Amino acid sequence: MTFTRRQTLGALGTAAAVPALSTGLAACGSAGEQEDGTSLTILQYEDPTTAQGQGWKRALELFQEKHPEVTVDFQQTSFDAVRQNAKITLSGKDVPDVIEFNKGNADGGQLAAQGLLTDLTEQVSSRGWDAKVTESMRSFCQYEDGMAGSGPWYGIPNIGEYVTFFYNQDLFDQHGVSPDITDLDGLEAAMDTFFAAGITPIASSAATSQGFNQMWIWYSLVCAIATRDQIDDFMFVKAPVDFSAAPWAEATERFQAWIERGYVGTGISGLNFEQATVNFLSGKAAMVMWNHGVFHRAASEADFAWGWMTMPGANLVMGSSGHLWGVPEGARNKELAYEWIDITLSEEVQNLIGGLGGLPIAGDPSAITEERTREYTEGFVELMDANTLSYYPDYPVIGFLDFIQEHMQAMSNGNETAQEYLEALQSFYDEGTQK
Amino acid sequence: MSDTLAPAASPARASTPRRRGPHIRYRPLSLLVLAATVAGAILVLAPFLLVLLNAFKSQADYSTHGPLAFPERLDLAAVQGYLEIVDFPRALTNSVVISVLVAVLGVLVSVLAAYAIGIGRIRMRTGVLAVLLLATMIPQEALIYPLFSIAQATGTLNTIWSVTVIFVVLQGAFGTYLLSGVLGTFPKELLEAARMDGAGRWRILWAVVVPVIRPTLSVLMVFFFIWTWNEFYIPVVLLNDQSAQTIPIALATLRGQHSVDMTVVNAGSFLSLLPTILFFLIFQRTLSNGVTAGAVK
Repeated sequence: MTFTRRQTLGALGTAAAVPALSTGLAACGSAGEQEDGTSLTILQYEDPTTAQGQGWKRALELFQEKHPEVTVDFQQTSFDAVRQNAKITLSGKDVPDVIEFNKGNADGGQLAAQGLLTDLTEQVSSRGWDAKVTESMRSFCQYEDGMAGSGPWYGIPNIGEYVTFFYNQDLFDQHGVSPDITDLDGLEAAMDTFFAAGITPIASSAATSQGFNQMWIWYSLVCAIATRDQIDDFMFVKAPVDFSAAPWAEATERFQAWIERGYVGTGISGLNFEQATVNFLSGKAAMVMWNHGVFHRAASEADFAWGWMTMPGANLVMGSSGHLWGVPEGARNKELAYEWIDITLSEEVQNLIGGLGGLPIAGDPSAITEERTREYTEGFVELMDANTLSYYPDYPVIGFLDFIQEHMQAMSNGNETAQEYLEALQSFYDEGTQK
Repeated sequence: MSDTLAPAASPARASTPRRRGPHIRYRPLSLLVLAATVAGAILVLAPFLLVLLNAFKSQADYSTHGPLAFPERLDLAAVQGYLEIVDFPRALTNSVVISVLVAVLGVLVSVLAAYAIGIGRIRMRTGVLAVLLLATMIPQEALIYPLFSIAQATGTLNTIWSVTVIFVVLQGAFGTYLLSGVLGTFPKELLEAARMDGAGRWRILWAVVVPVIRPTLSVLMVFFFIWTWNEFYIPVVLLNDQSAQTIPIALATLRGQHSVDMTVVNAGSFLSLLPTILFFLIFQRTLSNGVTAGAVK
């Protein structure tokens, strides 16, 4: 039994008609093009229950009060979605008016270099944003040919973050260790005490997916002995970096010693940051190195006394601005978009974020009533004002995060020495930054 | 389960000459099999139990006692948190509509196309099949830019229709490839008999071919449903707007760069699992029937 060509085509036509029909239906369902000035589409990915999410909820109310005629579409997406799709989304014709995007050369830098984001420089000076976004918060707002550090402004952050040790005060007291440690040798002595008592000194993790603790400890050790210029050379590719010299070599050797002496625990190559956090909060480890995420969780969940300290005696402390607001080049309501960014930087919104422990960049720490939150925020503002925040180590090169994570895992397993890691780092960095 | 069944219910055992005593006697081998089955069941259920365990735990409890401990008390905060962050009913509706439409339309497209290729034996059928196979083999990342442009041009971006159409085509391509093979070995006697009785091609398809391959079609439909339900990459690109998000994408919104709320993720996973478990319970007979269909002729 065979079909003639005509019959075949007929049958295929029927089959093809089905999807075609649903396309037709769908076209009727989609929203029509909107006019300028009557709508604002905001695409962001902050958890609405966080300090920043709460602040934006208030900002939305403020915006609506000011512009009752504007329909605001506040869209919720995910960090991963923006990381994967920002380029596709922004190259479309129906782009959001404001987008929250990821900082760094691999994300924001690429978007800026491809002309997908609006140059905000003029707005920054006319609206006075440069007074609110101070020096170390500014670096990842500006991109020149896709490289952060200088050039036109493309993004505006609302909050910042910094990385510290969080320590279990009860365990410190129990073993007669004082948390007032002034240098790395003092810290190592304290960790020896814990290790001898069978307590993991630092809860850590090194899984290639989400096991960031080891990377943060390693980079914090580098920053502890680095100068501002050395970090800026590395971060913004200003001058060649020699990884076989100070501070890189010294810090990495010390990091290897920490692994070998068991300071960071054993069997961590399969753990992620969440498991490390739980190991600290359940009292199994004396310390953990993390950002405000642990601050909030310890505040509501820890059943022991706790505190925090930056890496003892550190010159620079790991930390940076949060993710950024940007205005897509193809946005239809740019004026409203600027207005929105301005409101999120307003005193009311910033102080609301601050009160909830969200580390606002332009808030007033003294307005915070809860004592611990105020101290934690003041610690951040101090570092921000002194320009001693040193960002995250994976920003300079595209694909750096995966590279570092792999080597952190290898070092934590004892499969790689500091020397081998530094050599690999040198060639990866040189290759990635020579364009 | 097997030990709770009354032996009398099984005709094979009822016919054994040995009289049943007041209590059932277990032979060592059947005990061993039972133990292995239980172990297997626990292994399969472990991930579900873990999700269940942590979905109803307070965050503090989770942090203090870890993921394996039994909850101190029933805590609904995580479930409430999930429902607060995510528009769950909306995501559920979207997922169900997309998956059901793709399952039904995908099978329909596959049957029609495979009828022409497998039974109709159109010219160039090998070529057509090769193209269809190629279409299913190309990584989705390579397709995403054209798909995005098409969705944009047709105004279906951020609506569930873009994803529905794309998956009808993608699953349909795979279904056509699979069914063409099945229909290529369709008994000629049946077709001849139908033609003798004066049935046209349309009638043969619906009255003869479809009823015979129905078990295969059911399995295909179930697979299309589950595959589409779990799809992540294409929906995450095409559906930015929360009103069009599907369940897996809604779950992904819970994860930040450096933060994740494990109890909320567990609560979300639990709620998202329920519909698929329900679906599986309803269609498990179809599934197992389909898998064994054709094993005995």
